This record gives sequence, C-alpha cells and structure tokens, in this order.
Amino acid sequence: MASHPYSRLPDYANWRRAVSRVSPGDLDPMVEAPFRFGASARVVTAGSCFAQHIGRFLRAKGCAYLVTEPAHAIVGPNARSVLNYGVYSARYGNIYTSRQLLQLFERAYGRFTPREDVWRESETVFLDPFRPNIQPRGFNSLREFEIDRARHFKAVRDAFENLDVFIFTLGLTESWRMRADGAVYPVCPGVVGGEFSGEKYEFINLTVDDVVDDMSAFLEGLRGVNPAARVILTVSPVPLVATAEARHVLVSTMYSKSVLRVACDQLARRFEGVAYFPSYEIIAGGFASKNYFAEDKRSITEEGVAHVMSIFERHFLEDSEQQTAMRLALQLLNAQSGDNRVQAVAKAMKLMCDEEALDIDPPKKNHGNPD
Amino acid sequence: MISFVGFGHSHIVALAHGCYAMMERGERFHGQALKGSFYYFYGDELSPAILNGTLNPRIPHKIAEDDARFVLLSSGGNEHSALAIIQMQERFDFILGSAPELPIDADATLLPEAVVRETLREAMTESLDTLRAFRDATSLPLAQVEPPPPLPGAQVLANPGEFLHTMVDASRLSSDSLRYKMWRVQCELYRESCARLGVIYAPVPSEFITEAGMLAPLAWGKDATHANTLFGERMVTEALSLLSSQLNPGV
Repeated sequence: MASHPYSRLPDYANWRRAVSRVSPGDLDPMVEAPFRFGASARVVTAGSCFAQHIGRFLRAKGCAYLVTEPAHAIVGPNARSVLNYGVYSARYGNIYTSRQLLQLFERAYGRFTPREDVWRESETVFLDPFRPNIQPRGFNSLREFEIDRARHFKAVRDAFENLDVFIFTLGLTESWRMRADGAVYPVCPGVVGGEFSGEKYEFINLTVDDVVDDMSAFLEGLRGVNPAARVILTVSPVPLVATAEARHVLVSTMYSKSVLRVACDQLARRFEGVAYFPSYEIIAGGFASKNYFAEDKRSITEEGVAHVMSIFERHFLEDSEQQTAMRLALQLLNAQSGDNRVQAVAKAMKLMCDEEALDIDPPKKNHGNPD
Repeated sequence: MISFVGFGHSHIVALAHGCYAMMERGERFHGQALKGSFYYFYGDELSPAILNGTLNPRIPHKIAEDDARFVLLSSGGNEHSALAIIQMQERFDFILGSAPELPIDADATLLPEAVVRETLREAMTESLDTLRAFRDATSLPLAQVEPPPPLPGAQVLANPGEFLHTMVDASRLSSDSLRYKMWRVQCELYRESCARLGVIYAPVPSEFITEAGMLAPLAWGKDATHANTLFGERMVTEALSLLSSQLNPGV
C-alpha cells in the first residue's frame, strides 16, 4: 500500500472519523491547545455578546476571573447587572471589532484621544460614545463622566497588566468610524446616542489584513505592558443583527465570520502564546448534529453554550487533582462573596422600623367622629 | 365624613399618630370629619403585603371593611438610610445631577448617580412592587406619602435607636449631604413610579426640610430615621389636599 500524507491520518484529520461518526453533541474540533491554565491564572475576557458566556463559565468553574472594575459594596446583584459590573473584567461593554479593542487599549494608555469622546444628550445626560449602554441614563455631568472614565481606564490598564490569559471573542467586521480621526464606535452614532451625520461618520467593513494589523498592534501593545500574557482568540457564532452593506445580511454575516476566522488563523500562527478556540465551528458549522440556534436563528441555546464550554474546559483548563480542588475552593468562595455589612445595616434598619411599628394602634377611644 | 385607610412600612406610624391626633381634636377637612384607619405591613395580619405578585387579599378586604374612599400609602421609605447611613470600608459619594453644587466628600470614591439610582431601585423593589400591587388591586385614589428626609448626623448619633446604635459611630456615619442626596434620589424614584402608575405623590412640605436638606427639628421622631406626630399630621393633610383636588377638581 502506497504511503502518502493522507495514509496515516489521525482521527481528528479524517472527516468520517472526526465528524460523520461522532455522536450528536460530542463534536470536538479542538485538537491540542498550545497551553493550558490553572486555577490561579488570572483571566480577562472581552469581545462581542458571546464573550459574556465565556466569562460566566469561567467564574462558575472557579477560575480566577480578574475583575479590575468591581462594583462598590452597596451595589446589589440586580443593579450590578444593569450597570454592567462584572459582565467583563472592566466596564468596557461589548467590544465587537479588532479596531475597537485596539483603540480601547490605546485610549486607556493615553496613546489615542478621539476628538469626539463624549456625547452630550441633554443638560444632565452625557454618554460615553465608546460604551453608550454602560449604565441607564449615562452620566449626569461632564465631571461625573470624566471621573468615571479615568477610573475605567485605570481598570482597563490594571486588567491588561495583571492578566495571565486574555480571551477575546471577535464578533464583527462592520463598524462606523469618525472620518476625522478614525475612532470607531461599538454602535452606529444616532442609534443609542449621538447624532448620525454622513459627513462626520463613515461605514467601514474590515478586511483580513485590517483585522490582522489591528490585532497584531494590540498584541504587541499587550506584550509591551505584560510580556507573559497568553491569548485565546475565538469567533462569535452569533450572526450580524443587521448589515450596512447593500446585500443580504446572511451574505454579510458569512463575510464577517470568514474574515475573522482567517485572521485568527494567521494570528495564531504568527504569535507565540496565541491560541485559537473553535467556538464558531461547533455552533455555526452545522456539523454537531444539533441545531444550537434558538428560534430567532441568532441566539445560541444553552445547550450550545454548554457544548462549547465543555470543549473549552477539556482543552484549556488544567485538570490535575490539585487544580480541580483549587477551582472547587474558588467556586465556594465566589458563592459566599458579597458584602454582609450592607445586609446587616438593612436588617438592623428593618428591626428598628419594626420597633417603630409596634406603636401603630390608635388610642382606645372612638375615633368615628361621624358627621 | 372622609373615610380612608393608610398602609405602609414604618413611616406609616407617624401618619397614623398624626391622623389619630387630628381625629382626637375633632379636626375637619373641607368641613368633613376624618375617619382614618392605619395598618402596618409587617404586622402578622397583612404580612407579606404581596403574595405571588399580587396584593395580599386581606388588604383589599380591609379597604372594603373600612369603607374607604381613598388610600394613603407609605410603602418603604428607609432604603436610602439602610444603604448609606453608615459607610462601608470604601467611603462613597456622588454628584446629584439636579443639585451639583452640593458638597462632595473629596476622600470618597465618587460613584456615578446612575449607580446610586439603580442600587436604590433594587433596594426599593418590594416598596415599588407594593405600589404597583395596590394600583392593580383597587381603583380607589392612592397617595404615596414621601418619607421624611434624613435627620442630621448629630441627632442620629445622639438617638440611633435600639438596634442601630452598635453600628453607628462618628467615623462611619455618612455626611448629612450624602444622606440628603440619597433621599433625593429615592424620592425621584417614587415620583417616577407614582407618575407611571397613576398614584398621587405627596411631597414633604418645605417647612419640614432645613436649608441643608435635613428633617427640621420640629419633626424629629424617636430614633435615627423616623419623624414625629406633627410630621404625620402635616403629611396626612398634604395627601388629603392632593387627593381631594383629584376627587373634586373644583375644591
């Protein structure tokens, strides 16, 4: 029998053995991660909506999810969610494009100051154009905005400088930028805030070279402040909600995801310590023998997320007994966290209020006082 | 005769005392005698005020039993104090957008007002849900009475109440300014909810608020957060005026 490059392929390289014969839900397109990380590795996540699943999973698994912009102790769990605390490591909101990530890094280090860095919606509503949905009604004054942004930038720097692993989920290639200085926005101006002007803003759709250049600049910047940082790139399987290109949204989706996928491949080959994780392939590849899209054909089902994260866990988390025990301990610790002092004051207040109310009964006298 | 009922958490007590005092004196409102009855939410009979998302059926029963023409509410009201009367390890302050000139603690972490507002909104969940449940349960006119503004720090330290005293000391007590701002945000949340629900909102008259935004001494109650009978009288009258102008626009 002739010997050739395909004659002794491992199972993972053979479609029949790696895909066709795999039971529904067992598809695992990850072969071997270039690195694994342990329970003590500080992990930071960022990216498009799908990145939120990764952060939640890591916390639930007892990983050391690094949060450098935590909520104040008075803020309750629902408010934390509304205010976007803990959704990501810092309150940067969703970062959809490589350009947005690069500019966040540059802005945080004072290397880029956009000409238009605040949207004044009214006398008492100021929005951050780069995270316009970060909190309801934005900021109440320019002073409040600037104070919070300075704190936010410090939190971003702390995250980049102290992380061990950075997981970035690339979501889109389409974006809107300011013509004057190239600042890109997570949402088209005029949609959530600001005012759209074709003269001020222009639509861009990044190419593979654009994404590779952006990410290369970012990775070099990151390594400049944190030489040991390791990076995991992934592509969000969530389709575009809309396209600004004059073509079908499905065609635009396929373009975006293809560009991002190719860019990730180039980056993972070019940079040491940069891995690619195939969440896109598991969900959107269509070969898991399961439909992981919800009824809207856009949202990912819990089952799909669970599949992706189980593969992530299998390949990236160190699985020794010691590491598992450490993660379990961290899980318990996370579950017990929260500031009991606020609760103690609230409880005391309620008790005090109860005392007050013991005295509500009217004097024992007829108060009818009828007409 | 004007027949009405009042329900609420602890601040309802001052209203009850105030109303009963007026009834004792035989005071009239627009020429009519007052017949008010007041009930405390945490009392055994009416607790919890909300059952499975709707008003405890005993409450509408009480309203019918008392043949009430309208309902006074003091739902919640101390959430601003619970969150901020004393400071945690990390002192905080914020700029109140509607009064940015108010003092700011230079050494505190400055939180966005949105953070304070959403934190208070969460803390007020039960109070705001109760307003909604009342609105869903009855077509009678409803008036939510504004809680009293905070008491000055010196008064809080002097008279913290039996349970709070172990927690309050001068170093941890929040500034009067911060506590006033917290109260203002809470009142704004009440106003918004009441406007949305069609509930009348009865604000604290200016004579009960000092220039610094504190509860005026003439209205101080027996502890760190509550007002007295005089305050209750005035708030009942305020609410009755607003309700009667709605019931009888010509009055």
